[in-house]
Amino acid sequence: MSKLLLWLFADRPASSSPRRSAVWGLGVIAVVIAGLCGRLYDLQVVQHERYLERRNSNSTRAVTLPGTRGRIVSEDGVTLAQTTFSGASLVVNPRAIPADERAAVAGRLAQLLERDAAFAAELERELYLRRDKFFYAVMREVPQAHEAAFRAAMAGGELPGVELRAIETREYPLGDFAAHLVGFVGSDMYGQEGAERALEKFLAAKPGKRLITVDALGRPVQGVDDTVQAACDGANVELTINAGIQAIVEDELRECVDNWDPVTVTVIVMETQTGAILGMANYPSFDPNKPGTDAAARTNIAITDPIEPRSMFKPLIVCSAYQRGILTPESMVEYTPELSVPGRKKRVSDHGHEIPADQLTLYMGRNCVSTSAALVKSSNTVMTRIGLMLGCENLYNSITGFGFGRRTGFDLGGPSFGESAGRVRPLADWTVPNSIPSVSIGYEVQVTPMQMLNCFNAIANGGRVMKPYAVNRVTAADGKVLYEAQPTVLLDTGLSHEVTRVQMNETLKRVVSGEGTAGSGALKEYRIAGKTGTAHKVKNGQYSSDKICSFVGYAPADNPVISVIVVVNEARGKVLNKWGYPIRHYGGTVAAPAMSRITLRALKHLGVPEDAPLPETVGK
Amino acid sequence: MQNTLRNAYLLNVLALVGIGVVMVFSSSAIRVMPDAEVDPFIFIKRHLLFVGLGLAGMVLLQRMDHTFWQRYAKPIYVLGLALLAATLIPGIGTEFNGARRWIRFGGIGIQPSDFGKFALLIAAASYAAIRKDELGSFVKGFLPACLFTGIYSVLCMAQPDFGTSLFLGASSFLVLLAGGLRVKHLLVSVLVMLPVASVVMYSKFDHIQDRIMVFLDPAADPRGKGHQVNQSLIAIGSGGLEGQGLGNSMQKLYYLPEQETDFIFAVLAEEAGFLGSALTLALFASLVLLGIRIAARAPDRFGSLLTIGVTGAIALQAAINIAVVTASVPTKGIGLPFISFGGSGCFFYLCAVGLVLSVARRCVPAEQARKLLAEELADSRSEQSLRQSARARRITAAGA
Repeated sequence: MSKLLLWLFADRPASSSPRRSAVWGLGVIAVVIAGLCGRLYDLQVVQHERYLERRNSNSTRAVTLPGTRGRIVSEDGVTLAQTTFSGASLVVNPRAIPADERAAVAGRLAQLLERDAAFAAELERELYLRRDKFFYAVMREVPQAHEAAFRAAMAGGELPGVELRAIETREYPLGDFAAHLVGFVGSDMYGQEGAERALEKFLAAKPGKRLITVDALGRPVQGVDDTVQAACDGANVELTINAGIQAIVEDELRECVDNWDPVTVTVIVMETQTGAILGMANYPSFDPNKPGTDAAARTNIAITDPIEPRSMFKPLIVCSAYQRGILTPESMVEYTPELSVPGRKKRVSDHGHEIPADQLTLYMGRNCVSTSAALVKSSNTVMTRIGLMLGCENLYNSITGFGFGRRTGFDLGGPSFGESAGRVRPLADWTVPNSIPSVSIGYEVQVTPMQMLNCFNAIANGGRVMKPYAVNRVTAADGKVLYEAQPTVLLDTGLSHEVTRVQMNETLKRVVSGEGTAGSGALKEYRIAGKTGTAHKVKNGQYSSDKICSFVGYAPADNPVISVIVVVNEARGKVLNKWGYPIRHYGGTVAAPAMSRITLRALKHLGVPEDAPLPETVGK
Repeated sequence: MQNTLRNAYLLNVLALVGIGVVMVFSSSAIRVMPDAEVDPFIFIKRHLLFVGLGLAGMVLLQRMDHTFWQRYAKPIYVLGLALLAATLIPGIGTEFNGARRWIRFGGIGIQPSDFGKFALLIAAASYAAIRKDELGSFVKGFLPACLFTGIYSVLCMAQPDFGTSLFLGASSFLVLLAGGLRVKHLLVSVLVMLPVASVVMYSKFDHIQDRIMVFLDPAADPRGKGHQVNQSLIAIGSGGLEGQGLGNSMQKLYYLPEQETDFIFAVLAEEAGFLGSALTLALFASLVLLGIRIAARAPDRFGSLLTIGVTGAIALQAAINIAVVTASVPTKGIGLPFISFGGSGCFFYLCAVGLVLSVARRCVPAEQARKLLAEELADSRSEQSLRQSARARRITAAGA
């Protein structure tokens, strides 16, 4: 210890010369400078990229250059949706407002908007809270009357950081016209339904960018050129909708709604050979300009809401029997107004529309009727007999062969659009006494109007179930075709020309004539082939007296161009016939007249030559 | 030969001043641009004024005999003390950013601590030259040195200006060590004082806490306390090898605070790249080299120590500044000599260069210098032998 103290405090004269210490100093300084040099090298050369990136992300501000969303047009060139820029929204860059001018700017804005001092104080507070931010939207739509005053004040330099931006608006010039197909966009310009949603990636514009070099206060730096990446406008979409036919469809739909006061109505017009949708409308509908919050009105019930097809399903049973050679149109089948099936409690009955005795043929001591006549008269008992002849497996295969129980592949449909696959019980769950009588007369299955139409369309075009489509073409802003629809066969039913175009066609033509259930739908100009359907609605687990009246068919029958379905759900209106009695609600009375008017007008619109006038004898 | 050394030193300083003028203009002009009514050249004009005054002072002082300063070291020391004390008197000292560092004469503010550095260097050199024989002693050499350096430091700390007070102490002890102060005295007392001092400092001054925290983790609060260091690193790093080009700094657009004063080196590094920043570093290094050469050839001990002190202080300050800007040490508000915008700092540094030049003017030829060195070493050798014999006696005594 004493040695340590001695070592520390011993008085000794200075030992070194400043000249010598300088050498030591030199060494120390060399080390320090080498260290700093290394540090600079590390920062500036080794880590250069990283810091340069941080600098650029710091000092550039990207301003989005909006592109224009693509148009949606009909096949005949009518604009259904377009984007316009109009009006102005008021946005502020709070960072560009000097602190001492904040109150003045807020005051001036309030004054220009004709608002009170409280508004100004609130605005000033908002600007203060966002003083580090680049963007604050003050008002979405500046009243047009104030716009000029704003522009003048901005030009006068009174409002630093204030900007008026054009508002992008999606416009549907025809309102609810084809609303369920066109769809609509949300306030963020993102497609919510229909083509707007399904074709979002085509319609959406790729926004461009203007990269502005700004100082730390967010003010653009003078003399530095902006980097501009131009926006790319969205592609234009052409639907298969024919505006003329769509107008006819909507017109008749409105008429139907006025007459019958239904809960819902669905009308679809399809091009027979291709599966293209020429017109499609639902009631209730909506105006895409103001989509509202009523989800039910915005739903395309033609693909989302399955119904029990009832009599519309019968041609399928008959078709299956023809196809398998079990029956021909002339084959005689025993007719009884009621039929009890062993093992089934409830009897199958033709109650209310029995085939009159004078149309029956006595054969081997029994009342018989030809297969075609039974279908024309829509006999439940005969259909059940045919169903029993076919058996579960054949029946099941025929049904699924027409695409029931699966989605149609509609291009504006699919699970994300709520498209229903309908419902066909798996074969394993079928029982002869219950399933066959039910399915044969169109119960126990659920089908969407689109599926039903698709099935008839297959009969009309010779056995091909087409994939329905509503998007015809997508064309980029520069004219390049990005997508072109090709008619696609969804399923080949394997039905022969003889079965569909001769046997079924002849039978279905007779339905739309004086002797059939849809006599009221017959036309002088064109021959329609089709089938009515009247289903009782299930309410509270029981069949009620409310009905779904439908009609599906195609025309001209011998050379089909269009297939049409009309489904009127729960007609409630009272329409009197010429004798002053209210018309009862059946497919033949409610849906068939609407379908035939649509068919007539649509075929005229398409310029389809009229059929030769019928000989009087066939008409009656 | 003497003239070559002197001219080289002068040219070296002028090169740094030149870089400074360009960089002050480049980094300050933009600062005033957006407000049209303010003269964009206001900073560079004021900088040029101080540079002009400093050069005039330098020319004047380099003509004088440096021994003059040794004679008047005491009055100069007292003047510095008085000015430093004056900053603490309300009404004379001007408060700015929470510290009283300024005295205003009319429109111009000077920092007495700038003059303080100048005065303390002269005092230390003079002390070390006159009392060279007692400097090795703890009581007679070390303690008085601590005392006169400490008073300056304490006054500075009272402003409060922690960084400058540390810098004053460091530069003063640099001279004293070169003059023969024993390193172990300094080291031991620093080691003893350090725990106490650091605890006091750390708890007393919030900003020191913050700065150390920021230094340890600059990314912790990049927009708050770490903002300046982060922006500085971005500036330096984005410079790359060749730099963004003169005037093209992005960080000076208000991203980097103090861009024309303490953090001017970051702007320089961004605009001139690694080549430019390394060149600046090299100029400081060569200044040190030249300073040491002058010190080795100084006609007397005082001149030698004065040269070492001035050059050392310049190098020390430059090293600290660059280390701060590159986030190699905790943040400390200190300018880059000759380059930063800063009135009185620039002026007094140029005056100090005048002192060095006046010593350089009287440099002795190399042979004479060698002779002087030999004499000094002979002195110390005889002292050394004395000391060794004393140690031998102690050892034998201990052995017995």
